[in-house]
Amino acid sequence: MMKLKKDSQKGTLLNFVGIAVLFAALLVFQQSSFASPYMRGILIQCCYVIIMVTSLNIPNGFMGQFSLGHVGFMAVGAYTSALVTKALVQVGVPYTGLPGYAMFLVAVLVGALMAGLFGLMVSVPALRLRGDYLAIITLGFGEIIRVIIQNIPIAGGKGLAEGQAGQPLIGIKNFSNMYVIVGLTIACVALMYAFVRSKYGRAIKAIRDDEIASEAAGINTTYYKVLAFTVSAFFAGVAGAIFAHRGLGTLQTSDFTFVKSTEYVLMVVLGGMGSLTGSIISAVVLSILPEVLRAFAQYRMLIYAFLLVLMMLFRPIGLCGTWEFSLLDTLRGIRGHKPKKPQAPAGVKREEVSEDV
Amino acid sequence: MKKFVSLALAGSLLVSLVGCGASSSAAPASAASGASSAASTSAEISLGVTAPLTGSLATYGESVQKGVTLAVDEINAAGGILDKQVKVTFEDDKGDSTEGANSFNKLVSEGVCAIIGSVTSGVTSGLATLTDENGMLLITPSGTADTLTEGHPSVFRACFNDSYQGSIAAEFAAKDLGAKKVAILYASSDPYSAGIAASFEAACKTYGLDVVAKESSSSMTDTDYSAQLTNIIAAGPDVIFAPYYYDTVGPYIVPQTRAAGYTGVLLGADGWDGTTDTMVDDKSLYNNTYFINHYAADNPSEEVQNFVTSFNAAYGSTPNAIAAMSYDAVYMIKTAIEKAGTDTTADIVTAMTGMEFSGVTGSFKLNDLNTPEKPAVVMEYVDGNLVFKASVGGNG
Repeated sequence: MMKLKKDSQKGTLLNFVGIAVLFAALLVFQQSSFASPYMRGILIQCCYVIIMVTSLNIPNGFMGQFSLGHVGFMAVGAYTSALVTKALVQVGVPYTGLPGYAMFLVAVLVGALMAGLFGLMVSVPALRLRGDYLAIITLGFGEIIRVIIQNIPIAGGKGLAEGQAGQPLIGIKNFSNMYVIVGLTIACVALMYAFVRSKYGRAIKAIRDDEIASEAAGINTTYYKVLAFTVSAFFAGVAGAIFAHRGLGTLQTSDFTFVKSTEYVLMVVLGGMGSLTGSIISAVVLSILPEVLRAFAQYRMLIYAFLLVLMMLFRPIGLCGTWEFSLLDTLRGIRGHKPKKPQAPAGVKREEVSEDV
Repeated sequence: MKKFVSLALAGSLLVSLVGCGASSSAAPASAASGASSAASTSAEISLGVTAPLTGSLATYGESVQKGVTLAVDEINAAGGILDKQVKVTFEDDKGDSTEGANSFNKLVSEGVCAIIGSVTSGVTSGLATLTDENGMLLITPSGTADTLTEGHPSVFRACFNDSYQGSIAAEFAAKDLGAKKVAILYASSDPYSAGIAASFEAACKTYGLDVVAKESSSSMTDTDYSAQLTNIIAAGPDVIFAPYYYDTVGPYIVPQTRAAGYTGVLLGADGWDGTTDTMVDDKSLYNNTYFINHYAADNPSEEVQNFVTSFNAAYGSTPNAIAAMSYDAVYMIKTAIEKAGTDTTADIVTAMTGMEFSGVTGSFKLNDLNTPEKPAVVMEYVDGNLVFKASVGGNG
């Protein structure tokens, strides 16, 4: 027991050191000639994609409930936060410097809460179903959210009072500060990591493994399912808020079609259902990959698709399976200690995954 | 075996990532030098193009690529601009705003002096915001949304905008067709369709037209319009205005309107360009349909015919409006560079503001919203063939 506690203290300390190192790297990046708007844009893209994919991993990977409408929540977060900053700017709140960051964080929080609220509303009826049926329902909800947004006058054109339904929302302020966004991403991932490792997370995994057994063991499955779905929607809202303020100044509903949802699901599956580490890796790789493949001109999406097919053929449990990166274990591994590796016999897992899908 | 393949795969992914690092670390370095000195003294003038070369709008992207390539080849064969050869870089944006921003930023970091793109208003509106930061000259061949050029002094376009198009349609319906009652069918969720429908409706008041019915579909890609058409036909309009894209106009809207018993005029906007390829077998259904367009391939003017001939020689097809406007966009940049006498972006922007230009899509002056004021052409379908009907507007 004592050992465990010491371990977790050590781990926390190490993780903080890790985050500090990450920020130092970011600082160096910002100063270097490497930091063109192009590279910055890709880095920001990586950040919101990471949040999207890790948050989608909670219902899809950890809970085994297939959701296909995740961008719906991202859309809610994006539009809500954009309208919040628009409104604040309109009433004369300063948007440069420190008050700007505060405004952005407020908008992120409001957007995320709104998305969480929608998650709650959607999940209560949707989670009565499972498997394919749930996938269809969530897909439907995602589309409903999108179509509703399309028809709200305040969410189009110049927005608010001058809004026009059906037009892209334009004139959104740029809050794409690298440090704030990377910080937000780290905070979100850390919170989600804490969530899936907590009592709630264990209950959710129990539901994935056997819903009937966990209900018999006294787990309120409905409650936990709704909770996980809401938490997931909340973080999708954060991703949406970053997406809205990433510097393009415009939001359109075609950014939130179910094709995008499928892309995020793909990243979850590719990274490993039930591994946040895998989600982060696949989010980064699949965000960068189309850019790397630009050299191949019109063949790039073909190559991209081909790589995906190969991945799924030869590693169907995803890049990481259910393995999580741990700085402590890695360091121990380097120093020669055997890390406490969660056993992941590929054969068994593979069957489980294919059953889930 | 499997282990080996997965290892090899992981390896190839890693290599591709490292490759990215290497190639992109080279790019900003050249960009830095490009921005400081090369922009005004290098032997080449480099232009960038961002267009949907893949994805569902790839047809448009292909047209842009063909139009731009043809223009650049012609210019280079004739000695280039200011005795410098023109180099053009194409980037794919898939019709997606994020990809569009990435390709825009990539082109900027490669040190191009002007960017042509993108095709749709949606992607272009994001790029327009990006030009505010770096003053890059952006010229969209076909982004028609009114707001694209508002408040973005370095964004130009080679086409007219939606509100102009709507009023041209109303003018044509009232004056040339002598209509009294009109009906509107539009997609409420689509910026293009909703924008044009709104401006058409507003212009109807000016021309004394009575809007007897206004029905909407939820998207541009709906396939069944019978419910809306029943309501519209019951109101007895002389003209039905339906601003949709060619992929729904050809197979669904026109045949369904005829099937519902309506034999009157169907009027569309520039999205109809390309309907010839999506028509159903019975071409007579398309008689008595008109649409507003940017240029007519059978316009007898020498400039247009030369363009059509050389396009046909290069690609074996008749250029559509997007190809024509992309072609003009390159020549607009050429004219501005020659007027400025330098290829520094800021000077080209100054030279292009309020510029007069004559190209295959008409002769025009850019107004204070950086938008051409030029006559629109009205095209008619006669037994499936596209025929030039009239030239409308142009002075305001």
